[in-house]
Amino acid sequence: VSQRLVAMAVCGLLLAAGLAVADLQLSGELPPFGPEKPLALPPIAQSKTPEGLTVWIVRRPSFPRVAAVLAVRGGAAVDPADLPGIASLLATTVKAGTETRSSRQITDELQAIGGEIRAEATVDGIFLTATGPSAGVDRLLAVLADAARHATFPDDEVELAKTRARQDAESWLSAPDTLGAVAFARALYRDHPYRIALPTPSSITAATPAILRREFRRRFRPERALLVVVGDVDPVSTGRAITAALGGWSGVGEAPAEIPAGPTTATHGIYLVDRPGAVQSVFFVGSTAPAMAEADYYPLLLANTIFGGSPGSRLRRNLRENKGYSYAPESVLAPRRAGSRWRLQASVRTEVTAATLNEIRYELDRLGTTDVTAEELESAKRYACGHFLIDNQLGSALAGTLATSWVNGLPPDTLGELVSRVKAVTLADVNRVVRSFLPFHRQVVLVVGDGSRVKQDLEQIEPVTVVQP
Amino acid sequence: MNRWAAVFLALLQLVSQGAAGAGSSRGAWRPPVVTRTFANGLTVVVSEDHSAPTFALSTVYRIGFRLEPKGRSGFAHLFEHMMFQGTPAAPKGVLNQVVEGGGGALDGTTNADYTNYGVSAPISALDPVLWLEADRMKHLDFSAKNLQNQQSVVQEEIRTNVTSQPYGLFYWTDLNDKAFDKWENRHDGYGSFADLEAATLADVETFFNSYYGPNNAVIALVGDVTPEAVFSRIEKYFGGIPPRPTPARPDVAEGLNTAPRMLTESGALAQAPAVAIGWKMPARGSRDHIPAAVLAHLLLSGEAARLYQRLVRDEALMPRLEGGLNWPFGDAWSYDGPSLLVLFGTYKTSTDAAAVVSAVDAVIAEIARHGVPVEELRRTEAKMISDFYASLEPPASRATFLAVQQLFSGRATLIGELPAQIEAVTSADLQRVAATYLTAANRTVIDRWPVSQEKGGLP
Repeated sequence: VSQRLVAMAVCGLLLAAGLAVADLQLSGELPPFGPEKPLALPPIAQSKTPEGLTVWIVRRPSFPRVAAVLAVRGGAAVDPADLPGIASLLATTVKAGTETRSSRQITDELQAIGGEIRAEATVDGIFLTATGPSAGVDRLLAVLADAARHATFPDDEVELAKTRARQDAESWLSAPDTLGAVAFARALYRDHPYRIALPTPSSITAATPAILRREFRRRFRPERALLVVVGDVDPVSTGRAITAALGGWSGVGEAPAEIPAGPTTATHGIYLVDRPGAVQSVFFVGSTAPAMAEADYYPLLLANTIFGGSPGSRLRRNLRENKGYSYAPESVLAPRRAGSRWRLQASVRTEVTAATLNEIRYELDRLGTTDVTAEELESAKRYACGHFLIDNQLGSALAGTLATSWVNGLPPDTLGELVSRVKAVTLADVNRVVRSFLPFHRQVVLVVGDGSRVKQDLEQIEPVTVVQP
Repeated sequence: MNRWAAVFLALLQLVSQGAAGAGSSRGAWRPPVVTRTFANGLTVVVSEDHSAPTFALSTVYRIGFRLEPKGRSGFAHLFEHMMFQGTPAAPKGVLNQVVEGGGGALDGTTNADYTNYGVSAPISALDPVLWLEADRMKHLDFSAKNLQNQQSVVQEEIRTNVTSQPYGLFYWTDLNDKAFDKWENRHDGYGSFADLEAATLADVETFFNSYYGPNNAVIALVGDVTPEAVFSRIEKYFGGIPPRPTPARPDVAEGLNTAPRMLTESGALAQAPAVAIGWKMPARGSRDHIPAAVLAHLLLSGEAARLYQRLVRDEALMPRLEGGLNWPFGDAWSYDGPSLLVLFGTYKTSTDAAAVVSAVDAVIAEIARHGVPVEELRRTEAKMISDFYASLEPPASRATFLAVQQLFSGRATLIGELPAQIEAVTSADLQRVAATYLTAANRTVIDRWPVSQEKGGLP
């Protein structure tokens, strides 16, 4: 097997996050916005190893740090049916020992160069993120690659991880936000693999080092993996370090099947998780939404900004600034490989639970029955483009954004296109997608709260189904 | 130092930064820092960074919950909310509209010793954002309706972040209350609902006039700007704001405790017992301060930390633990009054808090007696400096660091000096600090049990 990366292709499409949308009219003495200044984001040097590992390197010389993300396609959505949520246990143990390094050696070796590795599982993938001073990039990559290729899942490490996971699973039962997120995912996705949000106590109990090794071999394989490096590094010498660390890595056995397409509709209903004595009710309201590659994604992204995705949004103005019901009501459009998820979350005091749902319903249906204004859309466009700049200022954030985008099945130029795609959205687009995706009757509503105090009032709006946590 | 000297130094720093290059190791990165104080007492720190067409603005006032009025616990934080409620010139909603329409983000955070207002945005929004920041330093819309609205919002914030959470921040509120003696240091910075509801418009106005003048503030700007361009705008937008008399700072200092303190309590939502331990620590800027920060890192930061290795791995008493100096709402550099080194974690029902405390004591005693091997000290310092840089990578937190250090001690330049100060800490320093501060007499322990399984406590 060749140990060399195939020749690098340089993709210069991460460019020009210019914000030249029409100026907002500012009132009174306020000075106007200055001229827009585009950002030439650095190019992505792309390559592939002969075994199929995708490698992206982005040189950002402005700060002496580096972030390397090794992402594999294969998160909770490909967990075996009898081990739901095992992906997160796999993520936490994959860096806990290799054929040549104990857990303690990994920790000390990384500490000595000022580095660290974090691991995270989502429904779509597992992400190992190594960060540290750019001077230590070779060592960082060597440890990262060692974990990805030669993790051993030692007995004591797995036992420790299981103890923690068990305690986390217990504490989730008393944290309303986690409780609600889990129950919401089940109500929204029903039989689709995205219904799993967290590992269940039975998966944790059933997990063994042998099972983790099996799942590791199934998912950690070069043709299903991306390595993205962002930071103050030289692409050529970093490419050599990657060849040394990951050349010859090949997968064996059978890989996970493709995740089936997500549901395109949700079954509307109001579900209640009873939490006696709760001082607040937590709302989760949402539905399935287009994937990033679909035409309706960007209009919906802007509709979300207007509705509840920014501090000045309609939802926040209503529930927080006008009514004082909630501290931080917010809605998020979360892109996923097999279809995105749109969801709002709001915690409100028990007394105003039904009144809040009435306002949420009002704001959602106001979107579909009256038009979004040109000013709202222009502001949302500037917000979306500006946040793209600000949110990706950190090398680790940019690496994470790129890795997520790859796991979602998108080409590397997707990020570079964000600004032009956002700018191209019209009022008609936004007014169309809000009517398709955001009517109240299309949403799954899940409330975590004190049933004895909120159920009857909620039933003034619609029948309520009590579900188990 | 006059400002031309400052500019010249900044240029030198830029040059040396360029020369350090990509392969530089720890200690080499020094952002440029240029500072100027204006006639009304407002101090401004500028750090150029042209890597993106954005800026981060941090406006900090030297007031936090430590110095809020007695009988008005939680007021500094409630007041922070009022700073987003509009002014006579820019009514409620305008600030959000302009920052968001400018593609930016804004936030406010209240700490023990400062309150920070942050804005990050594309550079095109610099003028309107500075104008709005000056506007809310000049005057506020003192409206009963807005006050009532934010009293409700803050109560929801407390219900969300405290009342509905299994451990409800007891390792902050209850630990401070037990460990400290003076009200300023003891009381709950989120405040009681009774105190929050008692707040009046007169309180809001008095607080604004007392603590929110330009002479009690520092502004830091990091990003695609030059110092001169910033200073001329500051003169234009802030120059006309007169200084306001600020109340004298009370003496909040406390000596170390002389006998162990212990409390057993219960919590309704938690599923597992938990312990919080706090020790009073040296004052910021004192001889023991940086060694204490290094010791805190060595004991508590990450999986290489001594307490993690002993309590989680070797003795398996706790599934995980966390903590640090001035934790959880700050770090080793962001306090200006009595502060604790805190350890918090749940422990297994097969053990008890006494066993956790004695294992912690054993780790401390080992350091106090023998110090730490030089290799471990070097590794710890390397990771600590790396973490310090990582914390400065976001321009918004870089701006906050600069503003807070300038506010506390007039030394924004600490940003470039801290790595060398960390590297200068020796094993003997750690021994001294462990033996002086991490003693049983200076220690406060809270053992918290789920209501369902209440029992126990220290013998």
